[in-house]
Amino acid sequence: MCAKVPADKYFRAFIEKDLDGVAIVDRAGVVLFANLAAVRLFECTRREFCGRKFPFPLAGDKVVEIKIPCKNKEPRAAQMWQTPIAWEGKRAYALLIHDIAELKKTEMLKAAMDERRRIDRIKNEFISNISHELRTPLTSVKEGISQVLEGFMGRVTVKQNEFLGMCLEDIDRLSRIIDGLLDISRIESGKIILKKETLDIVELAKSAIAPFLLKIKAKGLELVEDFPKTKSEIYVDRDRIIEVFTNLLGNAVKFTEKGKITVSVKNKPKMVECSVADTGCGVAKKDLPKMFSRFQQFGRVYGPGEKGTGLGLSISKSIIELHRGQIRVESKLNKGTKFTFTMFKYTSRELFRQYIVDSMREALRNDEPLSVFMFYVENLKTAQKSLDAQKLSAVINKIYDIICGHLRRQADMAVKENGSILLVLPATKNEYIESIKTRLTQAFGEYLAKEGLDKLIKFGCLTAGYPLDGSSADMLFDKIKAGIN
Amino acid sequence: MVAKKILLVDDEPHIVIMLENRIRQAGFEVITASDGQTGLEKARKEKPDLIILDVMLPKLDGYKVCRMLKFDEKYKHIPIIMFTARAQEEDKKMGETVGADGYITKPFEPQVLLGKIKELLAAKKSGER
Repeated sequence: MCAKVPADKYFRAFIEKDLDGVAIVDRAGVVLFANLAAVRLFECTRREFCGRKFPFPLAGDKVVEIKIPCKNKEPRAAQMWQTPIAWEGKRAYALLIHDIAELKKTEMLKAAMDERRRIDRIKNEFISNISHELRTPLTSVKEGISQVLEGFMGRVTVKQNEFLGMCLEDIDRLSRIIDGLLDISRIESGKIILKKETLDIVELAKSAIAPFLLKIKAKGLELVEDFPKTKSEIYVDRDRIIEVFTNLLGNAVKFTEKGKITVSVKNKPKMVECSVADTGCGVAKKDLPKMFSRFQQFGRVYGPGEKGTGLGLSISKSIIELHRGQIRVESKLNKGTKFTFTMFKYTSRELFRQYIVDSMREALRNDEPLSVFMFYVENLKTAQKSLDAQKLSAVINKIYDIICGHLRRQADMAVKENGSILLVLPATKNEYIESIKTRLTQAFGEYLAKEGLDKLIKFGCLTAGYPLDGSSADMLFDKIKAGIN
Repeated sequence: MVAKKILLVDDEPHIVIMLENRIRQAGFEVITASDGQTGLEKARKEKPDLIILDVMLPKLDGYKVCRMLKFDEKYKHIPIIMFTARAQEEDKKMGETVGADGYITKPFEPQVLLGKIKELLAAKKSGER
């Protein structure tokens, strides 16, 4: 029993450590006691606080919100409620003061974020609607002028032809600006989903260069291609990366009158670095920071020819950033400009995971099932002893080809990792997993037997499916990973 | 040879006037409708050789008109070109879903449109044989 110690003392010790502020006030509102949290909240010493009137009116039965003044800062928000107690034999009130400043801050941040999202959505919807509304009248303006120009309404004089031709050019430009704006708003609103594949970046660069060859030749420029000899594979959206190359090349060709345009790809251990450099008019140092802003055009070309939209570089930057890459520019006035962008390469493990993540997202979006297979060499160590690395990799490549040949479908993906092949089959019902597994295993089993390899290499197969094994990429990935371990 | 009949459905009068002129000059007969409902009725009654169909139409939108025709044994052979200012991928996908044979975005290139018309008519002819 602790009867010798006054109950107040225990109570005091107990509330002293409370994280919430506790103040005991008498019925007139004068502070009799305050715990550490309370004096901290009020930014004063206990001596200053006790014996004075509590700075807020008592709340009665209700929970009230108070704003505690702070030195050099916004007042702190707190919730306060009271409960009658006996204190040193007299009737008093215990005031509980709960600091809600953090909560308020989080609430405000959340509200601000929600508001921002709302504004973004309205903005994007607005741009999307505007684009549609602008395109419709633009259609009849373009078609009307085209028909007059083509002589549908009678003979056209040379002067009329020239002026209407200019109108038509600018209609096309306006139309490109609308497309560009729509593109930017879609990228910014995260509406664009990259369709990533494992591709040779050099092949993409070459596809982008092809349409410019004639123009480069006509301007008497030299084209230098600085590409690595080995394949530089990277997991990207084909069309979007070609778009970036096209934007950069378009600028290079437009702003270069003599000299050369150099397109280079460097295959570095962790990333791929691509650049497009020219010996053109360049950009003044003060303008460089504005290069990727919208509607910024420097050294605009006067005279005939396709006019820019001022959106190309901004879109390119967004695309590279969507790929989690970076783009930068160097330029010297009258010397030339060089754009460089880098994108990280995935390790094969990351790539495996990324494939599953991307396919899973598509599956959820289209409300379709997904089946994932992984074929791997079960006896990798012994297989490596009996076959040299080159032969082993040739066998895996052959099996990869056999599997691809058997799929007969476009959307399937098959990736090779060292010693294993990942296969992702979108829109494939999970109940077919077993039969597909059997069919594919048989197909390459025949090949292995024919080559007399079936004793040397044993293949295992792990599978996972959505919805069968879970509804997140992690769950599918984990199921397969668990199988390997 | 009887001129091929093309049904043009669009609610923008200026576009209808101009397109009608363009297609007629190219040697086709043109009939028009300015809303989805009338478009559908004319398609069933007049049996055109090809339909150019705007998407955002009053009464019945273009996708619905397209789907109703493509799901009907009697009319599903008529090629349909969706004609729209909405050029986003979802829209094109929607066009495919409802069975449209072509997709032309506004503003359009006259040669592209005429090329598509001729291509679809030729494909239909060889298909009928």
